[in-house]
Amino acid sequence: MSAGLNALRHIVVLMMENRSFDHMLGSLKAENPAIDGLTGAEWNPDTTGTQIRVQPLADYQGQLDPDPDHHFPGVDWQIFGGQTGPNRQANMQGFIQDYYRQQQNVDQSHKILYYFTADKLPVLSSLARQFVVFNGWFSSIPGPTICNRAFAHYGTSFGQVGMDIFYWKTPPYSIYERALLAGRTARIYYYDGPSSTMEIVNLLKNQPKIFGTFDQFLADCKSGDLPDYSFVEPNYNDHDGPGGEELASDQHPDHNVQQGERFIGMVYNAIFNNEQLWNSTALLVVYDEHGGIYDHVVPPACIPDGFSASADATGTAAPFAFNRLGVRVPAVLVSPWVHKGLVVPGPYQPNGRTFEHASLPATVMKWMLANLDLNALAPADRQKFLQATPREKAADTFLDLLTDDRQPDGDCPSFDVS
Amino acid sequence: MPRTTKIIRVPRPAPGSFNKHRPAGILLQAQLAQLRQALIKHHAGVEALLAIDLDEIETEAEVAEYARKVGALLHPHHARNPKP
Repeated sequence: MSAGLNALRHIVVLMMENRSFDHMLGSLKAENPAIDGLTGAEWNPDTTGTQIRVQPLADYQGQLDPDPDHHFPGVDWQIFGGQTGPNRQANMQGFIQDYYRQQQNVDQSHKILYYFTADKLPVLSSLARQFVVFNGWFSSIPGPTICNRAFAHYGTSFGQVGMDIFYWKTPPYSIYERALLAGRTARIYYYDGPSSTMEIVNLLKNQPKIFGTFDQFLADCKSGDLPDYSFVEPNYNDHDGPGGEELASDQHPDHNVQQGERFIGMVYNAIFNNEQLWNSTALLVVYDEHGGIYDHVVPPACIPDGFSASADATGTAAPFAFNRLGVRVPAVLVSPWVHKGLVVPGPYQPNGRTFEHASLPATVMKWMLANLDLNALAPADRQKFLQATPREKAADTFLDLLTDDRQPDGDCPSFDVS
Repeated sequence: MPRTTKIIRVPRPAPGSFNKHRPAGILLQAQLAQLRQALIKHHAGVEALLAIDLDEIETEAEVAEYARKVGALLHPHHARNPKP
């Protein structure tokens, strides 16, 4: 076991909203060719047949309105360029055309290929430079938020590919419930009451004890009371708070990306500022899905989920067997125990690895199992604890990236979010 | 003494970014539906507690159990996880 893994006491996942890998991290390829980002030559056809290249023109707010389509049929069009039929090949050529269908404006449709320059995202770019970037972290489903977030909590979406809220079936149990059964601690921290959580129907309704607010997260970091596993949710809406305006920080279009940067910085600072916590915590910053925004990497196949979504449910006239992943998303692993600037190759590269949101419960369970006497659990609890979906069982895990070498604190960034 | 000198300033969003009158998108509408569904469950819990005949609650343990159930409905976050 590496010194970093031996020191690990806390895993924290911060899941942001609706931005693709290329949109957020693609420009970093220019300074680190190992990052599978953008060369500038990538293009999509628009509805006039013109080849439109990616451009470094993304802005914090105001460009992606209307909210780009990211429901199953739209994402299917984006990935396959509008092809149908059994022999179609994914080509990532349908982003502009799909966005055009929402507003019939050719100029506006080109903005779906805009990406950020690294200097506009000082937090995410700094973390990517200092810690670990995953070239191959994909959303679990080529679809929207709720089903993708379900994979983070359960390792499955129970056969759902959309925003249906009645997806939950039992078993399987959430990663939080399983952790508690094993005598470990786990919590979902949502931003505040008005923002609430995106995991209401099962967990908030039935498991309120596993929830806390972002203020509590900050306090728990300061006091050293962070649970073994924490899942942090950003602020999902603009609302008035006790201290004034609370700006959405989830980065969901058309919310302000800069506020999301500040939120990521606050989460990082809360961990970094407690030296003991910093030494013993792995923080993963990841996005739930691409939000309809361009990425150039074709989502790979995956093992079937055990469910099937009907043609009616997918809206594409074809059923879906959960046998391929969704569009690639940004993912950065932060810990003093990782090699500086490491890039984990993606599935089409030598020694490539594929991650998806089922990697979250898979990683947490693998970690907890390593320090657990299963015989100490009652048989029924043991059975629930060990329950893993096919996707969770197959998912790659990431704690092997913690090494024996510790980055000096002085090399690590701190973010001034005052 | 600061542990790092690598301080990176993160600018605030431009004034005017806040717009609480922005139409709620599909995600927030889905969240709204979830909240309503949770409320139905919550309402059912209230009804179940109101249906209990208080004259049948006699022991301290029964009072405590009733209080626990009401407390859980009124203050769902009052029960925190055990400390690590």
